[in-house]
Amino acid sequence: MSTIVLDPITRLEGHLKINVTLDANNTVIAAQASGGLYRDFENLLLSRVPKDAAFLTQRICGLCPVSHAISSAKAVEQVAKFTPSLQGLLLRNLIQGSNYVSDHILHFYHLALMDYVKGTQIHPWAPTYGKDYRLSAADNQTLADNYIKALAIRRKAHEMGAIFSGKLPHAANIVPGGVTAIPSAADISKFKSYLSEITTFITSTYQADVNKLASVYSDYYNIGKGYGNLIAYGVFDTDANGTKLFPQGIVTNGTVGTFNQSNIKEYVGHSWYSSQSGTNPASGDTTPNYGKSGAYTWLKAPRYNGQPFEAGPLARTWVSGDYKKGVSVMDRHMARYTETVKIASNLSKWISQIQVGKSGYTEIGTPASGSGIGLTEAPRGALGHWVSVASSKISKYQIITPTCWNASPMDDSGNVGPIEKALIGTKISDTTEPVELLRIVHSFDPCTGCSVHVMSPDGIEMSNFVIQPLGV
Amino acid sequence: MKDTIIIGIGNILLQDDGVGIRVIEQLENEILPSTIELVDGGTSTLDTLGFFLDYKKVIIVDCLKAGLEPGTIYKIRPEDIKDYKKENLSIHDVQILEVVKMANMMDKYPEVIIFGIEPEKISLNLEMTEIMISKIPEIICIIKKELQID
Repeated sequence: MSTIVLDPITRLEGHLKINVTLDANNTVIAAQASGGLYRDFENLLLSRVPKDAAFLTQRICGLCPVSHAISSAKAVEQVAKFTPSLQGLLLRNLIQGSNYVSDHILHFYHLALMDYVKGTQIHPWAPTYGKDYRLSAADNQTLADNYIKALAIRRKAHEMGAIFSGKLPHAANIVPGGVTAIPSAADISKFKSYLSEITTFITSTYQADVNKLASVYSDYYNIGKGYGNLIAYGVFDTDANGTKLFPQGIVTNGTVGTFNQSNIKEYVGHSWYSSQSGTNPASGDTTPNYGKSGAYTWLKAPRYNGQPFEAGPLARTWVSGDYKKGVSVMDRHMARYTETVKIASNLSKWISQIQVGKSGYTEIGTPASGSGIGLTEAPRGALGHWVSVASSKISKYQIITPTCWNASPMDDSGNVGPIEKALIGTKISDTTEPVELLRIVHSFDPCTGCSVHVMSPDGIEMSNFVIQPLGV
Repeated sequence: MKDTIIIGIGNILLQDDGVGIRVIEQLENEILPSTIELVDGGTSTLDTLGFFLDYKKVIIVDCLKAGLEPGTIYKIRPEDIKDYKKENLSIHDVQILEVVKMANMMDKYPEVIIFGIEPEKISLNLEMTEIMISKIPEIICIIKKELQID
């Protein structure tokens, strides 16, 4: 029996450590995923004005700021018993949809692809493993070239989102009440022009590349399967009655069932918290207890009806019926691609419904008291904010991020988390270069970035770079 | 025509980690030449790529933990550390260097200067420590000197 520790897993946002135990045949028999960063942004929000949460929570993460802002705005709107106008909802779709497209392209080309494609040996491609590169030299070159093309397209998707959000990465105008933008005819035509170029890239280049990968690595349809339980809160309002482009639902044994948020409970038996275990986030708290016996992570373990569930594009496309072939590493990539195509085509519908000169915002004031839940989906999966307001101030705030679902630890009943489960049973062909593990973990697009971005260069004598104080 | 951009990176929710953003906020109150653009990059380092493609000179202001006295200001250029052998160097979260590499792959080679400030405390707090706040005027002086602004 031996163990492999990957710490940190590179090419993902934040810090995630994976620790697996192998049997004599080098098959994974146990796995632990550890989030190494304490996350307690919720306590920072207490006693603040509710509308501030949309500005502050999007600072949690550099990859899903838009979805955090929307989740927070929806939670506060529910306290105020308000639904934004269709114009406001469509503007949110355009901003969030642009972020999805940008993020999915980033994930496929810039975070995941290098597990399969041999790049030049320079960072960020290096360090890479030298194993199991199966693409022909010509295909490898095409994909490496498209990595660079994708950088340019991704930037355009980012600029497309900024047309209506005013300012990205951190949007200033997604607020409780809608979106404080007044679209001009020029904005709309600019958006369409970006979208046209991006859509061409998705439906030609991205499509060809993901299909090539799936055909050469088709064994990955049988690797990293996990539980097969999928969860989606739903995203992209298509009317003011709550209809969603990707509806909410849960999937067990391949069958779609009804989702009810009251079935969500968070467990901390193996997490560094002394918070009460098994509570719904509406009544949950965040009390750290580092070094707690039996604990190995800063992530809590959210469960639905007591069971682990996987969140992400595959959950959304399964519930919506757009892609439901299976649950595996390659199915996650195919679902992410399928979803990207669908979003791009709907962005085109939504932009044509936008009214020139009409604000997407309604002033809703500050709700005095009550509680609200803002459910949406970040690109990497289900995202929820739970808020309580008393005396017009936030009295409770809890967030469950998609990576909390996917990279969650063992719960109090002994069920391991979805990524842990997906790793178990995997045969490692070379234990010094366990590329199989990286491919599985990356397929979930984990992001524990809700974190510190401080630079910390080890191995460099930094005193050489100190600026002497200026003379006074 | 704008040819220089100053990008603040960091998380304002994490006390001194937000110093880059606080510097940008302060610079917004200053009178600067019309050639200079200011950006609050927040925590989305990878999304700053476009700026490296469009500007000749990129100034990054970020929190940099190297272990010297809190408030120490460092000035590094990506080329200063590129020759360190991989085995001697592990850089966590220095995504900005990846972004520089990505720009280079796209055939753009802007001049990049990173001003890093040693933090005293990184914990959940919107207010920076006194020492960090007191350093902001000096950081701004240094940036202005770098850009030859009087």
